[in-house]
Amino acid sequence: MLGAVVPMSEVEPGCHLNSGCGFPAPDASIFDFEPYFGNFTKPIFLLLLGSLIIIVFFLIAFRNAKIVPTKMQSLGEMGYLFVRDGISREVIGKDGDRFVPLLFSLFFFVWIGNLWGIIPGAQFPVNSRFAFPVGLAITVWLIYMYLGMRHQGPLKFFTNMMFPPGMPKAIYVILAPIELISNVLVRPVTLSIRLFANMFAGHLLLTVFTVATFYLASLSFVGILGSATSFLMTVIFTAFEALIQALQAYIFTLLTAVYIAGSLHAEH
Amino acid sequence: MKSPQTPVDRETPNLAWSVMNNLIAGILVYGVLGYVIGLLIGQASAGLAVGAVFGIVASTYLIFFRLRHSDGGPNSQREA
Repeated sequence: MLGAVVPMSEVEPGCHLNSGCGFPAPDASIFDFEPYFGNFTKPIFLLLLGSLIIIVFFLIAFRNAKIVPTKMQSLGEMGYLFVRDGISREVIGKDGDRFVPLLFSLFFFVWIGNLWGIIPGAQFPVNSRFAFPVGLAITVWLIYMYLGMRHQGPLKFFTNMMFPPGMPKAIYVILAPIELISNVLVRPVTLSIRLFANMFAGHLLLTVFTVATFYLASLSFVGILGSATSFLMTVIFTAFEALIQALQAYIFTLLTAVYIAGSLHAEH
Repeated sequence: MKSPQTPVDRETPNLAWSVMNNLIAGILVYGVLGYVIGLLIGQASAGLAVGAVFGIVASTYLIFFRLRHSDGGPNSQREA
């Protein structure tokens, strides 16, 4: 008999279709972890481990770099060239090369943070905790505000932002506040929410189907059909998540590059 | 090897990313403004609604204006 939907945090472990308990719907509690010690929780551990993996990987890849690269070196160079040519030069141009280290670090930091969501054993996308995307977005905000004030002058930066040239004078009164709020306030908000919401929703989806696979598994028509379908969905969504994770890391880095480009050159 | 791009060439795809931000900012700015004006005349909800719609119109105009001008106008399309 199908029971009612019960929040996951209120269900006994081992809850099953035939044991007469309701479907343990994953809720916000799956994003909370008991700290290992102090405030040190699983997301922080995964974040540090991810950073360490990136650092070690690229240290090995570029240690005594050769003209004819080894396998590790070609892989590292592929990642580097992707960020430099695909993001930095495409968006900022040649003079964006000095921002490649920043964009490169951002891309791989966000990506490995997302990637933990589908790595067995870890299975938690770090960026589904809102504080991490917010921290990254604040960093990006500080960088492009600073660059804008430095390259265009503190006052000029805001006036260039608010008054794109070529508009009828009367329209400026209406549109200038939109531009200002859009560039200063809304940018970091959408940047962080876009990353957070994608990872949050993805993790929730995967959890729903994984839990359903175990909950429904039993020797009945509903059990076999439901469990098999849920398992199939888990596999499909894991592949889908792998795509979204890389895509969100790419978008985050791309938008950072777009904002930096906007700060370096005023609109013509 | 791609041909070197001028800053103008890069502007259009860059602008596309600001569409979402402009729409949100438009609703936000004029929604709040409309709400405040509405409070003063005792019709806060109506003020918010009118303000938000006006904000969408204004930001759509802004997006349209900037995209039209970013590639040098409709008559200066480059050969693909």
